[in-house]
Amino acid sequence: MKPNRFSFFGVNPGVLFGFLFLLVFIFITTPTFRQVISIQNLAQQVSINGIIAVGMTFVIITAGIDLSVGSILGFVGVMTALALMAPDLVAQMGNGVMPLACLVGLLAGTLVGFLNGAAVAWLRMQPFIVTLATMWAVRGLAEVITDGTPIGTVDSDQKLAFFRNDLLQHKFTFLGMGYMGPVPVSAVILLIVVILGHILLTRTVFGRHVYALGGNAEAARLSGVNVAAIRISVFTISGALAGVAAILLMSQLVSGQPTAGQGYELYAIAAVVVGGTSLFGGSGSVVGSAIGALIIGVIRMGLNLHGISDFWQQIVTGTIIFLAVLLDEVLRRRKG
Amino acid sequence: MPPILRMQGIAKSFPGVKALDDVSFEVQAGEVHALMGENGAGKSTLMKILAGAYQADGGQIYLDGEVVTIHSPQEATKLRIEIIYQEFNLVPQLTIAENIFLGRERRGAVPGWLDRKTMQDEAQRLMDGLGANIDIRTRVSKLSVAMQQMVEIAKATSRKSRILVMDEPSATLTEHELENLYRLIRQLKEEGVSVIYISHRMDEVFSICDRITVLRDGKTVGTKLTSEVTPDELIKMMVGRTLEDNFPKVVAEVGDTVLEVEHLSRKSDIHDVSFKVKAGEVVALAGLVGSGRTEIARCIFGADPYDSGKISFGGKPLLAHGPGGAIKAGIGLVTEDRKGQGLILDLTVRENTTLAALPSLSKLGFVEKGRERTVTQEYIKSLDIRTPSGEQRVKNLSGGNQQKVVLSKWLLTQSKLLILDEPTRGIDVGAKVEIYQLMNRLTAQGIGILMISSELPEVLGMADRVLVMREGRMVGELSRGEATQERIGEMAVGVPIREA
Repeated sequence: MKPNRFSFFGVNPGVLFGFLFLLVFIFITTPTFRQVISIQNLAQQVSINGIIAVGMTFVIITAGIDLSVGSILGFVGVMTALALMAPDLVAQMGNGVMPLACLVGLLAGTLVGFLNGAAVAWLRMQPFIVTLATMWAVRGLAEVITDGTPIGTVDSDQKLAFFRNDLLQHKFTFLGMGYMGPVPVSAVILLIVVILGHILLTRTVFGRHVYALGGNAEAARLSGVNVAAIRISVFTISGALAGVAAILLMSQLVSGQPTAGQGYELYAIAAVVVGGTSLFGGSGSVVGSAIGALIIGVIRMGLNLHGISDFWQQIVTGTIIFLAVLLDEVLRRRKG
Repeated sequence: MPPILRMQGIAKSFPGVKALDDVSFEVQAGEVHALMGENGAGKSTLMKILAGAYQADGGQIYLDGEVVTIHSPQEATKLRIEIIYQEFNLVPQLTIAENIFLGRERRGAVPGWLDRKTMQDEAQRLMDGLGANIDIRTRVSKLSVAMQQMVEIAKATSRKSRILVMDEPSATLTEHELENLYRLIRQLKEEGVSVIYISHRMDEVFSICDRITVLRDGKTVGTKLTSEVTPDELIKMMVGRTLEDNFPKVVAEVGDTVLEVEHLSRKSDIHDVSFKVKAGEVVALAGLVGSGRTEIARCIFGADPYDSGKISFGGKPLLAHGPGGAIKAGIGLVTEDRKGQGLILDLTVRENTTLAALPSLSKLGFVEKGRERTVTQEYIKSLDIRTPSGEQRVKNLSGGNQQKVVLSKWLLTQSKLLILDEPTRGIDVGAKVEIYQLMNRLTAQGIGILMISSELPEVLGMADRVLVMREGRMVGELSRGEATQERIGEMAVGVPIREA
């Protein structure tokens, strides 16, 4: 009942303390985790899922879901690599092709997100079905464009080959694997995305309308909220952020792989839910989702460092997600 | 002969609130017993304890003189206690018949198969008995709120209970449907069933109940025979003070036409409706549920489309506008379904208050929270909204205070016309009067009000003009002086009503 209960940027205390507990536990039990390089690796891995999860949070607060983000990862990676490796563009623009490639990738992701939103808002289709459809269609498109082979290996054009190789394998990797001082660039990008996402959700009219729509769509509509525009926007944001994550992933993989990002939509959904956002919509926080992504990342890294097999990792990850959400649910029910 | 039910010294606390404190209450077999009190007095909590939904912290329940413990709704059903809650418990995707027999389906000859014929026949008989003229194979999602209430009543009565609790069954019904409900209650009474009837409406309590028990602040104030008490005495028992006037109507100065509706039609439910609302005027749309009143309101507000006709506001036509356009023009809609359409329950008082006016409280898309808090405080003060703060979630507020939050939302957008659809539904006596006083204040400021109400005393008490609807048509207009319950009733039903 108390209106001003403890809250850290909209994150439930349970999520926050759970994360801190986990961190301390891993820190004590795993000596290798204490090395700077481990933390840097963690940040790099988490940044991709974290960025997708921020976009997913917007969609889930409106009581929607976006299953297409994993496929966007593959599709955007391919599109970005194609632009980056196009001989004519490289010949003309030199290093300038890199921002152009990023833009191409970003637009591709945004476009898929917009189409998802348009189908949900204008054709009044269910988000689950729409994004299930685009999940397959977009993945297929990535496969068709590349004929199933990764974009990256440089071909016979000798003159440009050296430069293009350098571009792909050294310069462009800055985004996904580079550092600013000790901090990975991808982590900086995640931080920026989280801050902007948090501000957008909590300080703007748009953000308020997102919560209102998720809380009660009809009441929001009758209060003059442009429900269709909000729905389209949240899916567009999710697509665009999946695009950002895709560019980072492509840079880490050093190639545009049509199969990249398979199953990532589920990691993102898990991060959002572990972070305390309800799948029923109306409440949630971007910071929570980022912490959710961290929790999942720390668990996987901890298991890795202990040399636990991939098979067991899946079982442990599944169990921990289940318990985390159960705990959150029980705490909420007791609060009433 | 001991009473069929005696609840003795019942106590119940929730975190931070003492909901019931030593409440005692008894009901005779074949009695219709009213349970009255303001919202939060503890009526619903007491009934939930009887129905096994809550466990009492203290006290005893006696059935036929013997102590019983009721740990779950299933146990209550076994003891033949049924409750019809205010919130419906129907499955929208199933038909009326399927809902009535949900959980105790009649079995056919083949194991696991349903005897649909028997169930449908019985369901039809039950609904016909309630005077609800409808095919029981209709899905519940297609039904009006009033018809859903009828289904709930049919469902509960079909279980052959000996104690039947009705928690504000009339809140959604019109006078005509009420008559059928009364007939059913009298029939149950003859069969020896005890009915506990929770209601805010004096007229119905006096017409069907034998005794009345009043609760206030979780305590029993007293039990009276209906024949030995007056409405004023009851109100005094409920609120602990006398209310000067149930309908403190002040007739305001009437100004220019605000809203003009001309030949509004929609194929299925609205037929050539024309009327005007002027500044400072309260115009009531009366009629049965389903006569097209809410539909007209939604067309004016741009929430639903219409086929033909013209809606002008402030002299200018409103063309193919959505709710956004209506709000910008200066129309506010207080919906009949407060929780489903009026409020976002998980958001705070502040967020609900400012939702429709947010663009004017923001700069470059950023909400100016300081100003937002200030205006919210102003409305909390001027409308006397009882809440710990503007940061309280509206779901924790009582019905009357929730309604004031909805009103604040439309006052903040500077509405020149307010459409109030059942403005006092589910609101207790004290808060009702506050809403009426607020209506007076608004009309005095030159705001026009279009009010839809199924409570005739409210229509007669507050309206300057009454427009009566029947089956999507406007069948008559009565001035404040001409309007009586009988005349409105006759017009709404289309035949002269026999004296009850």
